[in-house]
Amino acid sequence: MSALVTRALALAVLFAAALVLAVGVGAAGVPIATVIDVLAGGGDATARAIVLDLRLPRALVAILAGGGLALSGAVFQALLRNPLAEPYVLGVAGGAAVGAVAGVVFGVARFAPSAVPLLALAGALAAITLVFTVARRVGRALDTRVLLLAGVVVAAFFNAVILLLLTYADVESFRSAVFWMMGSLSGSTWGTVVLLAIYMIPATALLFSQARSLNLLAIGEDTALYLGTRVERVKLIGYLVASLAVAVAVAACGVIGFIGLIVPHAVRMVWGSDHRVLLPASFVAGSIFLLLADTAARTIASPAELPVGVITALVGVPLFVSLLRRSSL
Amino acid sequence: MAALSVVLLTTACWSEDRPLINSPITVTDDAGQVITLAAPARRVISMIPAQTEVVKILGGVERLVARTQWDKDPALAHLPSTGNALTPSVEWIVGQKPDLVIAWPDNDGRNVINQLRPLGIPVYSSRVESLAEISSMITRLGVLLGEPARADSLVRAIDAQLDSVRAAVAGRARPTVLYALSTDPPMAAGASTFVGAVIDAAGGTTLFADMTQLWPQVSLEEIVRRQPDVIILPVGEATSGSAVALRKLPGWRDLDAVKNGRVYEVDADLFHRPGATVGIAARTAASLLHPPLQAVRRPALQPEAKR
Repeated sequence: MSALVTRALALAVLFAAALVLAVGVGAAGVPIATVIDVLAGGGDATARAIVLDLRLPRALVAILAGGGLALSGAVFQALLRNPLAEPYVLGVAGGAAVGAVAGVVFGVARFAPSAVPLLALAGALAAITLVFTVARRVGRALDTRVLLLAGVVVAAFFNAVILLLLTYADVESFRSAVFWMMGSLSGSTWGTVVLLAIYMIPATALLFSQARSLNLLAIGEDTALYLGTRVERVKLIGYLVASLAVAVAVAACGVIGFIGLIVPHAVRMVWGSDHRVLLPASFVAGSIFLLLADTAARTIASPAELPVGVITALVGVPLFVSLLRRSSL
Repeated sequence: MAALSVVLLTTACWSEDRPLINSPITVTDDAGQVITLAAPARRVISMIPAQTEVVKILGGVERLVARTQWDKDPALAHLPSTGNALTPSVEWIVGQKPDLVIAWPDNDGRNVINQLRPLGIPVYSSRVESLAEISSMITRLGVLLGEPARADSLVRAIDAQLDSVRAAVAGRARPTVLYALSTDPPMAAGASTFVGAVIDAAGGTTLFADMTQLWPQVSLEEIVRRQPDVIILPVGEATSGSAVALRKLPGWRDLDAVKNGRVYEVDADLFHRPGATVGIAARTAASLLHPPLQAVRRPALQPEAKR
């Protein structure tokens, strides 16, 4: 138990350090004393705008989206009992992208810029509905294999729709759509934080509460059933709540890859696969990872920014491989 | 760039006693947003190369705070680069305290413009495709920079250049032109693009003028069927292939234009930046479309032009 406490403390310290770095460092080079001054209520208008309107909401979006993606990845890996499972495996990203790209291409976004995240959310919900309808039609209960296949098929279909939309898009729409699909935290505002928090906080609590059932499910669906778990209910809650978390994250910052795949595995290698620990630890580790990746994306090429997905993959993959060498899945 | 310095010279006479405008400046941008400045812009961040060049001509390099990776003008090399201009650091821009930011209009809600405006930074979103829009852009930037007279003379200089090109090609047969942005898959300039307008001024007809898309992706089969008189390939920031390579490509090598050596390479920067250099672009195009004209211009870009 003491090892658990030590690790939890280490994670908390890392989290605090990542947050301080995210708010304290940036392309504008605001001195750390000024940042502290701003947080205490002082500072000039420019410094206040940079810290309070740009860095702080962006850091909070990184925490909520990074945590939500890693948590969803952990839940999908448990439910599908497949190490390749990741947040986008059920076609959520494809649906969200269709919603956003359609909004951009048909000019909705020009009149109501805030409509794009909502359209992305609508697209993601459509994808979730479609996948679950297909899975329900085919099998009586939620069959893992059918669900995976439905996800792959629906994702492929949405991909075709996106390519069709982009073929007829003008230059600006094309640029906006591609930029959107690359995933970025650069558009984060306090509105984005609110959108994320409204869903992500209760969803996180609900998923944490399923940890014990997920532990039993990991042994096998039959065993879990004999031990008194309402298997279908747990699966439905898990899939739906996690899919919605992914949908909200994608609506807020586009498709950011690798966090949802790598972070839960990394946490599992270090902490073991007890979901009561794995789920919260994945959330916090996902937050830390996205905070650090975004800070790097903001500063390395400054005053330009790199796509954050480039950092998550470039740094995440070697990190993951080194973990993989030291332990087994 | 030689001809550009001519433009600069013609505008220079206005710089001596330019009026200092101190009343609020109001301009409507291409997204329909009204921009109000208390005084002429002194610290400008432009994320569009053609507009950057116009700011430089009208207000001087010292008014520019940053450039993009696409701006290759040595006079701007000392400025920090905001990279590809699509994903600049918003906080860096805010930290520079610019009094004018020039950006692409974006159709997406999560972009630079939507982040800068609430923070009180004036953003002029600029979209230029036609020749009329070039003049309009220059005029409005002139107002924002407090240099309306210089803007007027730049517009007049460009108009004069275009008129002389139009006069030179008037009455000549208009060749059909395939401006191939890409050869695989073939992508052509539509008539409603800036390139289409330049080709039109230079006495040519774009091959896919009937298509409404700006840059339609077309089939090689259709190109073969339509047989363009001239093929133009941009080279530079967007290279679509070389005239030499085209002679070996199946399908392409059988085109009359390729067999007749009427494939020309042009500087992509010149043809893809609707701005102050449009007159030079038109003159270059005219000399390629109407070979006898080359006698009255600087040396041809391509040996093929000397047929």
